[in-house]
Amino acid sequence: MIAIEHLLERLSRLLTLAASLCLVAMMIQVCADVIAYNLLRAPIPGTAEIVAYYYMVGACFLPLPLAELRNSNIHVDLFYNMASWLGRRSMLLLAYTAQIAFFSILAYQSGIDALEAIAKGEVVFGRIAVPIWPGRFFLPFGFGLAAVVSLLLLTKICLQRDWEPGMEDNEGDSPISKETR
Amino acid sequence: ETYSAAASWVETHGITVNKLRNYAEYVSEDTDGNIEFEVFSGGSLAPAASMASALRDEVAMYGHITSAYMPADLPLDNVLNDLVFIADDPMAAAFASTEVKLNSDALQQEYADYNLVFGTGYSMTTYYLICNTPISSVEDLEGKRIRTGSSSQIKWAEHVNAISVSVPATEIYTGLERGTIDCSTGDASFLTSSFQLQDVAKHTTLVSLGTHNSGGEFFNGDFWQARTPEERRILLDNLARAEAELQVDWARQAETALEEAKSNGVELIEPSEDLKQSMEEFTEQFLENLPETSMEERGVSDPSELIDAYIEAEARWKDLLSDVDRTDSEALTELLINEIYADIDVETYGVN
Amino acid sequence: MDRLEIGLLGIVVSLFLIALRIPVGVVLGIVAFVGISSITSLKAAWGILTAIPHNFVAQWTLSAIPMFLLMGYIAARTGLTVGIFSSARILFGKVPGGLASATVMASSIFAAASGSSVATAAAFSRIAVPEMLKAKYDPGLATGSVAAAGTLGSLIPPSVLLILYGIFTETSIGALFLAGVIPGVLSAAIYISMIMVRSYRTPEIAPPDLTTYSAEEKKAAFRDIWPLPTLILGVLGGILLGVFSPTEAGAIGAAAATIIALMRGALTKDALSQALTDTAIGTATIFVIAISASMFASFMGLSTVPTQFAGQILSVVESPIAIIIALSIIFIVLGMFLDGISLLLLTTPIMLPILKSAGIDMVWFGIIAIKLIEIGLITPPVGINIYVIKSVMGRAVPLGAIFRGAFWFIAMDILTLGILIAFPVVTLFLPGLMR
Ligand code: NA
Ligand code: NA
Repeated sequence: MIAIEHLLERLSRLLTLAASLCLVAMMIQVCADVIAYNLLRAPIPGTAEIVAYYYMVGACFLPLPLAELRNSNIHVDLFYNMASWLGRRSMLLLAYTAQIAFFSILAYQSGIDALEAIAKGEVVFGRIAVPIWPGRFFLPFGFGLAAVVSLLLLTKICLQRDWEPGMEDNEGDSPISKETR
Repeated sequence: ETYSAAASWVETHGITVNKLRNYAEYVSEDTDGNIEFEVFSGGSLAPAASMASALRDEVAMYGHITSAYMPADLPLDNVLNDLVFIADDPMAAAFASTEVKLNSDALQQEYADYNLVFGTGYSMTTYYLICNTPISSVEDLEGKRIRTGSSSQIKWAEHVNAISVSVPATEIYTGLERGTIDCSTGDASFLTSSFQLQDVAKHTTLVSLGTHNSGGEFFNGDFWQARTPEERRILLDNLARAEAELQVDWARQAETALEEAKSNGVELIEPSEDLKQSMEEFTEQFLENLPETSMEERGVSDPSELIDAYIEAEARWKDLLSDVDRTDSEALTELLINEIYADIDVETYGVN
Repeated sequence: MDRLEIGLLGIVVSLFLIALRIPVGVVLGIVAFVGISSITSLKAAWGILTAIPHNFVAQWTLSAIPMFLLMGYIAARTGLTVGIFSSARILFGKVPGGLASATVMASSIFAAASGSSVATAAAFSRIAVPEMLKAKYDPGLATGSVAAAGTLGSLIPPSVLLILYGIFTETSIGALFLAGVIPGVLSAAIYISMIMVRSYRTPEIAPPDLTTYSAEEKKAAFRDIWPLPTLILGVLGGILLGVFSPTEAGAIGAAAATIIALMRGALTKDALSQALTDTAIGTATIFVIAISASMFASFMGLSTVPTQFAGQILSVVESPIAIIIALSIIFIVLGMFLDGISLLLLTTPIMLPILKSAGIDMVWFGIIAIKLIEIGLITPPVGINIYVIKSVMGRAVPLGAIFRGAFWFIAMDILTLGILIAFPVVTLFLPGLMR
């Protein structure tokens, strides 16, 4: 169990690292494009397409598993905080079951779409032809691992009486405490 | 029964008005309410780039597809859209492409592979060069940043040493206002109703940059096959009517749009001789290279036959249209039905 | 069950499931999937999953959102925000709610150039909220100020939403831009007045800074005032001079923050990697909700709830003023569940003919409509600006506190709306000069 947990966390971090690289690449390429067309009158061909179909897609979908591990998704815990232990356990079971269903159907469909995109060699045409099918795979990876992570968390809810989402996480915590330290 | 009909064009756009709203009404009347279309405009059901898959997957049963958004799915259709860079008569281009798309086996196969049944084509009116600075010669164009709307226009921009840039539709206005771009290609409506560019772009060069006929109106294959032959006939003939009315409306709007822009201080510039000549050189070269570049870039097998079929059809339609009042949509509907749709066998068309 | 009933049931079930702590994005996505398959077919429901997630995200114009988030994280993590906020405390510490008012002013100015409300909220939530919390401001006030000031991004020109409204309704974009200026400034002024009055009456929500600063401390603070203003003015200047577009501005801002941090020697490897990880997680969190909200909007469209609801209300009103008030109610109610663009798209078909036949000025109505749509960004249960701030602040501020904080600003927006409706001249004065 602990080994699986570590493996999933490492994989999630790896995907988030890839998303971070997308962000850095987006920043650098857009700036380079702005400089190139202002100074050299020669923009970098395909910038808008690469930003949209690779960097954006990577930055949005790849961090999903880590976001789940860190309990960063947006939820309303007003009633949760008022509920009894049993009520809270039931809510968590329901929430994580729903989450597994949600990420699984998205992983399944986006996986099929990605395979179809390879088969037809999906491409967009700007000043240059940009193949875009590889970026399609960010979706099944992100959704798929998020589903597996949700399954792990569901197992923890079933097995560990006192465990709550995000409790061992001291990183995604309050931004103020960190910066004023 | 009620079926969804979808387009990514906004509510006020001709495609939505004529091809969806009016069409839905005609079909409802002629089928005594057996086929009702519920219209979703502006991409409210699915984004523009997903319209083909939305029709395939029954999210909508009828709708408008802009094939330029899905070049890998509908490559041959895109070749036709590349080709209309040479079109100088939007109405003839519209009807010719409708004829070709209905009759070309290669195109029909492409649509069938996506479980789509083609209904009608269209053509926007002539694209011009809308700029915030006066442009009349080839020299003026050098180094100018131009927002282009099609691959052919990009190739042309490169030919005249301008820089083509991809700018989303929502940024054309502010781009021209602040000078992040110098020009945008666009038809006359870009100046007025559709993008209001007359406020910020005071110079329009009347050089023809072709038209657009990317995709058209399609039905979901299963929906089509489930219709009776009589219903299919009604669906097709009313498409002819909607298409005729659309092209009449657009032609009229293009004319008034230019007048309106002019009265609002937009300078309409005739291209200089050298620009005209450069244009001729480009189109000639472009046409010659098109089969090869299509095979190379779009990955299709030799489209020469399709290209020839279109050129022939366009010439035929110019001829046919010279004998008819181009503002009379009833006469044009009749012409479309007689010349094209009557020949479609509703027992077999789109049925595999 | 007919589709209208399925749509209404979908709304009720969504609210219930959200209350049970199921993530908002998961709820909207699943309800949309089940709802679409029961209205049309299972095939269509899978079809929506093909049509929306990838193509919704793969948009060049949306890239400004992660980039402005990154700019905010880098600026905050490397301490670029400290100098200006300490100086602001020294200067305005005794003014009731001074920091919140300063934030509203700064983000309105930023919003003016950025053109997008969500991008503005993304940029300012990390920059301003933690600084206000450090000064012991009430979390609701701190986050509410940023969420609400962000909404002015679409009202003060340039604005993507005003351009879209212009395109949808064939209204002059230039006139709309001019018309948005006074209502935008008025909104900001009303926000600031509310902050001052509330802070004066309840000092606990914005404790005045009673420290006496030594000359040394003052000097130190003022010496370090430059980084954030330089960053923001650089981004604004570049947009206004046409050096780069509002979409590109995000990347320029992020890079400029990185360079300023480097120059100050504040850019540690740790700070950069933290900023990137936080941005990545924030981006994923926000976009999952946005994607699900978009699928939910398709479900709503298919269910005909928005059109029938609007049609019912509009069928009982006749006078122009009653139509405007009816439309305001429709927009506020639908804006709780739908994003602004979906809301405009789904209601235009019914709204447009009614407005035209009643002879209502489309520029005037446009500004009212945008104001209403912007309110939707901060109303529960689907309020994207609120979610941006929540995803940036993590556990530091509960979601409920942000919505409660935003409630005061919504009340002020209603007041502003009342003024805009009662006195069309507020909106139409500037465009009138143009004609
Ligand atoms: Na703005
Ligand atoms: Na809302």
